Amino acid sequence: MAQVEKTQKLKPLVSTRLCALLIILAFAAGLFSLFAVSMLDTDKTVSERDNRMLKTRPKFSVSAVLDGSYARDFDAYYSDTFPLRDQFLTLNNKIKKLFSQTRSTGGDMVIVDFEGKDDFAGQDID
Amino acid sequence: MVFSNLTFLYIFLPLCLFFYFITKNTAVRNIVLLIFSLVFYAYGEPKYIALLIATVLVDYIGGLLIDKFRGTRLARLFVFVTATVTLASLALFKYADFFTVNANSLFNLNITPLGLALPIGISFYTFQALTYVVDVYRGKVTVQKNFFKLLLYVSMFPQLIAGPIVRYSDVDRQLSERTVTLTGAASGAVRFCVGLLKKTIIANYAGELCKRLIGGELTNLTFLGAFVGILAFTIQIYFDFSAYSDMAIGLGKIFGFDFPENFNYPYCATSINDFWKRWHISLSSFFKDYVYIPLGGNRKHWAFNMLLVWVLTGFWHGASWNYVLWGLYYFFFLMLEKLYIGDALKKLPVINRIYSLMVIMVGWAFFYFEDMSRLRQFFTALGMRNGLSSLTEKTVIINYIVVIVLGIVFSLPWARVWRNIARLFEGRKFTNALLNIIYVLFTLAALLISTASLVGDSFNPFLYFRF
Repeated sequence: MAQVEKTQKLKPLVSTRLCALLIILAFAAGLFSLFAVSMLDTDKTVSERDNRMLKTRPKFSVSAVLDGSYARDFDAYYSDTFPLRDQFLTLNNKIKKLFSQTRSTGGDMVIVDFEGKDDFAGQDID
Repeated sequence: MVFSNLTFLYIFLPLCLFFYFITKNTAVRNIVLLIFSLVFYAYGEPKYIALLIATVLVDYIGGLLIDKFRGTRLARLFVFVTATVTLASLALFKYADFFTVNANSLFNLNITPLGLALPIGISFYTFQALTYVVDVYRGKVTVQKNFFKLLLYVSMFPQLIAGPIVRYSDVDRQLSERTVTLTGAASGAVRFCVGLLKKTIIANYAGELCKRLIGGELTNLTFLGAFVGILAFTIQIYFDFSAYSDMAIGLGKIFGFDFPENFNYPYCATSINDFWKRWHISLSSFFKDYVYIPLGGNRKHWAFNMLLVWVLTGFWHGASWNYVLWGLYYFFFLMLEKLYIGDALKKLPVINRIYSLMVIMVGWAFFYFEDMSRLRQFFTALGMRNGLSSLTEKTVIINYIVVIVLGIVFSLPWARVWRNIARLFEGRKFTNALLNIIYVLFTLAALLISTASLVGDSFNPFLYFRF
């Protein structure tokens, strides 16, 4: 327990007011800008990148809310029509490559590509 | 709703922050926080909101009665009844089917299981509610006359579904009086981003690696696959669980609450005893103060008290035998340390850490495999019965090497090192500005990266649905 108390007694990580203000502004700007854009923009219906129809906003009904399906469908729709979706997906693929990239180890090792399905979807495959 | 979700981050949270901060009045802020908390809980599973409110109502009335009849036998009766009713909902929704299935197979019965879905977060919020009635009875906190404040305490969305188990005494005063400072809120935002990054990057990718190695067929699993597989789970569960606590504590700070720390670099433990002072601290201290000590603690039949606490601790994590086994496994090592090797361990600086880590990692196998035959297969592989390594496993491991390295590196106490470095920066104007830029960039980068991985709909499991 002693160690926990020690960490709690430390000064807050952010100690100057200017720095605090900048962090809060950055944090709030990130959350609020994407919130605003996601509310105001017109939803795309088709993804050229994925070569498929994007999900549409689920129909509101009390029964769908009560059985939880509205929440599930809404999450899927919101993520599908998220602002800058294509740019975020590109960034995500870069992160994915870093973490689950197929690396060559030399020799006669077989490289199994588990991921990278996105790379083939719609574009590279044809 | 969970934190690592776009609807939470970019609809729920901005709206909640907006309505919270347009007023400075704590009473109004409480109403905002309560409404948002109930929506948070009801989103995706609305029917159990009634159970949550009913539980709080029981404990609210219990608290009033205990206070009214303080000093009489009735107070004792009321604390007993209230605690029993609170725990009964946990027993019914979480454990009834487990006992039914076991009784059926043991006595050849044919009772139909209830088939109730487990209400999310029930193990956390029932324990929180319990700390309230027990502490009112003990006279440690004053009774809460406002039902909505008690409801806010139990249902507050930052800690509602995955802890930490905040005690009523921790936030008692803050429910009526609290101030949000600029630096506090900024630290909270950074802490939240740290948690978000830990969850979406390290935990989720480690989870993917774990699933690849030990999540499927185990017949061909070799020693290497088993070892790295359980190492990946070791990384995943720590970064996932502590990330939830980071996000909870961070959000708490933004709203002006001080929640207790829940993790303190558990994998740096020097003994198993030490590990449990660093891992899920709010749970182990709950069991210590509300079960072990009332049973008699170290004074009366302590070994029995320990046994009971560890069976319950295991069982708390899920209604399945493997969790009980996991609890008993820790009981064994804690007894071993207490009776025999505890002093010797203190004299062996590096070996004690290796020993602790190995015990913890093997322990996670009991936690990970709910199916006993799979657990046996895993230990067969770990015992090198299926060979040392295989080409496929090596390939998978090399593909995920970055997350293994990050997981190991960030299990070390970097935050303390960083605090020390930051101290050096703070004195001078130029370096201080540099530090500010680092924090701001970190916040933005963490949001950006986490959002990208959420938009990418990557592997993003919620691990606490059995809790």
